[in-house]
Amino acid sequence: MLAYVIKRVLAIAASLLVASVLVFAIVQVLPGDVAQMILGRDATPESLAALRRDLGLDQPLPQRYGDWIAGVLRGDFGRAISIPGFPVGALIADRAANSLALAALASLLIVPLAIGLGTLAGLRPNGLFDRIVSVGSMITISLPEFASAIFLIILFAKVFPILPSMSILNARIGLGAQLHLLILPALTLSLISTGYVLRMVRASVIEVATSEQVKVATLTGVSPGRILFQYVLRNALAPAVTIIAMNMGWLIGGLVVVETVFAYPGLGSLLLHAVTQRDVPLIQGAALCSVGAYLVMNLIADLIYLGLNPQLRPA
Amino acid sequence: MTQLYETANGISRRAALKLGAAGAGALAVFGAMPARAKDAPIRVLLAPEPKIVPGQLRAGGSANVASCIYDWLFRLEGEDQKFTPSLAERADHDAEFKIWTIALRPGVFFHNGTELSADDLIFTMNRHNDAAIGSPLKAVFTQIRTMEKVDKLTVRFVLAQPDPDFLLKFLDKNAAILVHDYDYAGQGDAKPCGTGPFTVEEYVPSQYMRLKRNPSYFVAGLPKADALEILFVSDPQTQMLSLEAGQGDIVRTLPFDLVAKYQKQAAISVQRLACGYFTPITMRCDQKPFDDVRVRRAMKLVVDRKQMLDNAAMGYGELANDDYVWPGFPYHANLPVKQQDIAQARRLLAEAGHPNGIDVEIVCESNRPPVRDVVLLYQQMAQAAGIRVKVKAVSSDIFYAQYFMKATVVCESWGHREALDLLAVSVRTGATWNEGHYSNPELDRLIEEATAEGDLEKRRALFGRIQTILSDDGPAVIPFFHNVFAASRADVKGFLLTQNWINDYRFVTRG
Repeated sequence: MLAYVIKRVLAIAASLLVASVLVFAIVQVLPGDVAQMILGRDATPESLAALRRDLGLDQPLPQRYGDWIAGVLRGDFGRAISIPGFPVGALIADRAANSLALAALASLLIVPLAIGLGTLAGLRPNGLFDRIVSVGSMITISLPEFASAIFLIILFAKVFPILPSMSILNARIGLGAQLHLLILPALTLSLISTGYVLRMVRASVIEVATSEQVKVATLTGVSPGRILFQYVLRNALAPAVTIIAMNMGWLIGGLVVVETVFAYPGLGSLLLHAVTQRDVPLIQGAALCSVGAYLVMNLIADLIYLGLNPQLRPA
Repeated sequence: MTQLYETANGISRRAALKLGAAGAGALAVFGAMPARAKDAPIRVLLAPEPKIVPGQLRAGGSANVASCIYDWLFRLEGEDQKFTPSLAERADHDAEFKIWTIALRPGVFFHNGTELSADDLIFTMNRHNDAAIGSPLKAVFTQIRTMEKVDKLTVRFVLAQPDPDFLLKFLDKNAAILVHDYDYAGQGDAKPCGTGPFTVEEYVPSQYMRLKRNPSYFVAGLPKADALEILFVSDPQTQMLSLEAGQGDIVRTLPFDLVAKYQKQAAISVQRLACGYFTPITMRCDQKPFDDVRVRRAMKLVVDRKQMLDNAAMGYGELANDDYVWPGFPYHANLPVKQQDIAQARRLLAEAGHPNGIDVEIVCESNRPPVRDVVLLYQQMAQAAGIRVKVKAVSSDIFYAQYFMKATVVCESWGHREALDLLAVSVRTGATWNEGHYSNPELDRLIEEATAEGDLEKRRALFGRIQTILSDDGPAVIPFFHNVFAASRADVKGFLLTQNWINDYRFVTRG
């Protein structure tokens, strides 16, 4: 088991290295000249040349990549251009912590809701409850994120003014108030994700509940509660875990739309900010960090999956 | 099997109900959003922008931030945009308008405790010439030949050519006065330092800035508010919804289509600013087919200007005559507005050797209203004359990096500028932003003459000739000038939009 984990960690390191090359290459082919993009309409030939020198754009590509990756390995991601005076590493750490907090709160809503509703729906397929849940989840999945976000803002900030429409965190307010700011974005995320996870759980529950194993257990008089928890849920959860963990990766690094709508200072909105400002060091750092979040979450998912399915464990 | 389903369903439904009740309870604990206290900070919603040090301000958002922290030699004040001395106490000039002496107000202090002096004005002016800063004012102040310190508070400028409007240049958003003994390169963006009405208490870039009243502000009784909170929100829809929900107090730019809706709402008040914003469709006069003035004229004749204004800007503005000069200026010469004439446009195209019409690609900014609407309407109107328009809309960053000054036909948003400044940067031969690559020696001479002319009537006569040249021969289709709008909560009073983008927050107060 330990060997397996080490192997996976090494694989993550290799993937990150490949990702770093890709991220670096993609940033180079962003449309337009980076210096021109940053200075915009007010650019003068002198200011362009000065900025290119500052950004190291006058160096050859392999050297720029080498300098960058060497810095990253030392933990130095460079300095942000668009947020003057801040190192990229500190910005990312700060934003990643916020993303993690939002992801955690969203998961607190998503996981029990999805497992609960999915199980209930799966236990009686095509019943009234199942139909309501299926149609409901279809609707929440198909609504684009910004639409659900705006809908929730109108409902909870305007019609029933109980929640803030913007989630701009600040260090002076207490934990309760911070949590208050997180509710709407977390609700939006759970609207989207719960549907996916729930459908996965429902399908697994249907499959397991109609299996020979459960039939035998029922006939041999095992109590319904035990059947539900020991047989159905345990087996049905394994595939759902993968989806949940994939979701976590997305929740940490990929929330560009939701974070932007709520002005929430997470990793996704930082990445968007970096791209629109053509802040090359920040784009590279934030993108790499998002990739890392996905990979780590996948590893965690696999480990939980193995925990639930001992027979799949490597020798 | 049946039993299993029943039981499980039964248990969990009850559990689910309990869970739901607990959730509702948790929400209730937080309670409703509290009503805003009278002395609570006034919340201003702005799109985030990286640079907030004057000299490097790029757009309106950062100009608004700077407006709270810095002061200018002069400001535009009140509904009538009155030109008012601010850090300058007086300004004198010789009979020729070539030597200008500016005396600063005594007893003004920067946030770092330094007293305002001539050194600060000289430092600020020199900073615009530093290539590393990249200040757009470098090109604007080229006419200054010498600048000397007369005494502790007085600076004398000697200009290369006479300029009766010299002082107006100090209204530019980037012309705010900085203090000479502060490290703006290292600290300016994180810890701004000016003489302005508010001092920065806390600033988290791209998230929020908390400002409090500057107790030693040099204008007695100002600012009126004790505290401001600038919240950086990039999504315009969130800005509007937050304003509607009472969670933000001031939104700087209100889209045209929301103006009528908000004007009907008692909780929101709408501010309107008459000014010379415009969206020119500019043709490159050094490239075919637009090097032929007949083609440019045909392009101008296909526009129904009234319909364009009504549809693209909901009628909020004034019709324009392709002449760059906003009718609000006192020296604007009132010439009849061009009427749509499709037949004449067709004739001109045929004479120019295009009997079957022409194909035109217009590259425009996609994210600055009303640019895209103007271009789409133009596409419809031009069709009748055989001008087949293909529209390419790109976001502003890509537009300025790849197409501005380069593409054959472009359309983007231009902010309000004094007419002579505008002409000097847009249509004069070799000007910085001469995107039509237009060159007309007679126009250059007239611009120079009008710049040096201090007499209003004589200047108006010169403008009559300038406007006629631009209207008949000039590089752009300019259908209208449009107003800009802001919105605030009705209980927040005193917010003033200004033509130079430095909106005034000094009079803002609640209740």
